[in-house]
Amino acid sequence: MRCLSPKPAPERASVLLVALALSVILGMTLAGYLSWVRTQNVLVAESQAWNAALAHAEAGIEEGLAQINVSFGTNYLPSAQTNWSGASASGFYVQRTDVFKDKGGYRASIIPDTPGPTIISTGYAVVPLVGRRIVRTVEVRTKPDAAFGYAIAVLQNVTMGGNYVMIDSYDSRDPLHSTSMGTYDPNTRKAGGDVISTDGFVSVGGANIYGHVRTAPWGGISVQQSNGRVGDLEVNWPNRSGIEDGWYANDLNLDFNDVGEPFKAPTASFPAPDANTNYVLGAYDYLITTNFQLLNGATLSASNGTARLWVQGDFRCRQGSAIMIAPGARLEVYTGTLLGPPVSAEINNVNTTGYAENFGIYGLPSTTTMSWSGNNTFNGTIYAPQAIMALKGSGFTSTNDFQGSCVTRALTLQGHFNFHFDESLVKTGPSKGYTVTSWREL
Amino acid sequence: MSLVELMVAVAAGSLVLTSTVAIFVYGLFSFAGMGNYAILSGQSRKSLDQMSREVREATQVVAYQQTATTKSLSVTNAYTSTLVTYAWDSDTGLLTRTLKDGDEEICLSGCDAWEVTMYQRTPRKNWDFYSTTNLPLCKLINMRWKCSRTILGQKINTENVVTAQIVLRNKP
Repeated sequence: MRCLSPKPAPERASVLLVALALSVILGMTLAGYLSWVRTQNVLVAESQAWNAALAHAEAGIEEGLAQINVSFGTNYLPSAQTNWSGASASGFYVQRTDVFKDKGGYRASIIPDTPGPTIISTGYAVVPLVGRRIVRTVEVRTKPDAAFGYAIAVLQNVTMGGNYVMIDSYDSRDPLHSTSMGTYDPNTRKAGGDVISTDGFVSVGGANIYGHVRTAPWGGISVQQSNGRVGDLEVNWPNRSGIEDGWYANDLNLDFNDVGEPFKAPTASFPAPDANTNYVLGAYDYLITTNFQLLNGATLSASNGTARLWVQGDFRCRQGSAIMIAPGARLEVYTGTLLGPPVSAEINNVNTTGYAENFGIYGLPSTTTMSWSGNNTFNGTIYAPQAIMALKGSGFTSTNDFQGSCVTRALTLQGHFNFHFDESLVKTGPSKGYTVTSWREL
Repeated sequence: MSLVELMVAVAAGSLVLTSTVAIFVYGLFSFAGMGNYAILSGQSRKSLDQMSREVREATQVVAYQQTATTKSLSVTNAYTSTLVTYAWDSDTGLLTRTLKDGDEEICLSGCDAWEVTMYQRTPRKNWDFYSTTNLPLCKLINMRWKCSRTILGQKINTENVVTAQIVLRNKP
């Protein structure tokens, strides 16, 4: 029999030391691993915050754009002064803090500038785990967006009947593309008669459009293959029918603001007619709360400056009547109300010798129907996004000329009819708001 | 120490050693995999940030090519007069970025797939967008890529898929 002698004390301690060493190694490995995982987690969180900060900055840009496009037109200053802080010299700003789930926010500024205000927005997001802020800044420059950038702009359908509708363009401010009086010249015309529909179809039929057509993807275009035509002038595209390559696109994404009330109170009473049934308007704001009718032989004329006439009821210019604009004068006619019952507008001879920019008819939301008919001439603009418009040309061989531009809900063109878009309206005509020209991260 | 005790000790020791080696090797693979993930993730984040910034500030897509083995996208920025081309080659697995003056750098390596889809500006009712192949109509780009790394020659759980939609903010 053999007896085991007890181990000496140092050998028992070596097991403990080995176990301790292994524990330390394992512990350090585990700690290193956890630290590495945490670093990765923070890096991913930082990346997410980096992306979120840009989204927050763009939220500020959106708020700024909404603020400068608060209604039809380009007068954003009263609204910005009321709703945003800051002095007018350094612009206006708004600060939104902790409005997003990641404790993000933005500070956006509107800086008055030329041709349009500049918006600078600084967005931030807080990185979880470390609580650090990540900041990104975006600058957007803007310019006035022409209310009349196309010959015809509608929200729904454009329907052209017959074979005698023709649409092209000229430039009343360019002597190379207009007469010496600034009117349309068929010898120097241009192919800028663009027709767009934001939410409907463009039925060209047998009409000739010397310009582009654009619709939304869910819209479309139909052209009579025998004699309908969309494209450049014959000298550049001699085909007699069809759609020229590149002259139709279905990527339109536009919006048209409703017209607001033009003024709070009139500055003059609407004048009584003179002995020749002429209504002469000066540079004042006139209000008629009922219907207004311009009878056969009567004229409505603007003598000087800018006259604004707001007819809250129906506005009817009967056959044989005329709206005249004196040189240097301008007339804006507003029809309807924001929330009242539906009203209509009917026009005939308008501004037969002047520039299109000098006459405009603006339909407030209650203006739901408009028409222009007979053997007449029209030099002006129509902006009525809620109105269904009918342009009725002559049934005979003589053609009626519409010079200017129109924006309506829907449009029908019939008979012998020439529609000439005045391209100078893009530069000298009214603006419906501001549009972005450049986007830059600072 | 008897023979039996020795054999038991060897067996127990072998078991412990085998387990330790197995855990060690598994740990190495795991660490290598995690390392690959980290590299891929970092590479993708950096490339995505650079590409999204350049595409976002671009004014137009000027070239677009999609074949089975090579794909490329060129965007220009009229404000800064820059032109940048992203090109992917399936043979090399590289996604490269080339500037107008010919300077080239590698954005992604081990890139198994790179897909670009162009969309026009108009949204659908469900906020999706209409796709297009017409360069002048392109307003939005969807990019998707997949990268991978190998461990001892095998692709083991180290794929990394990135998808991004970028709007060309300066496209009129």
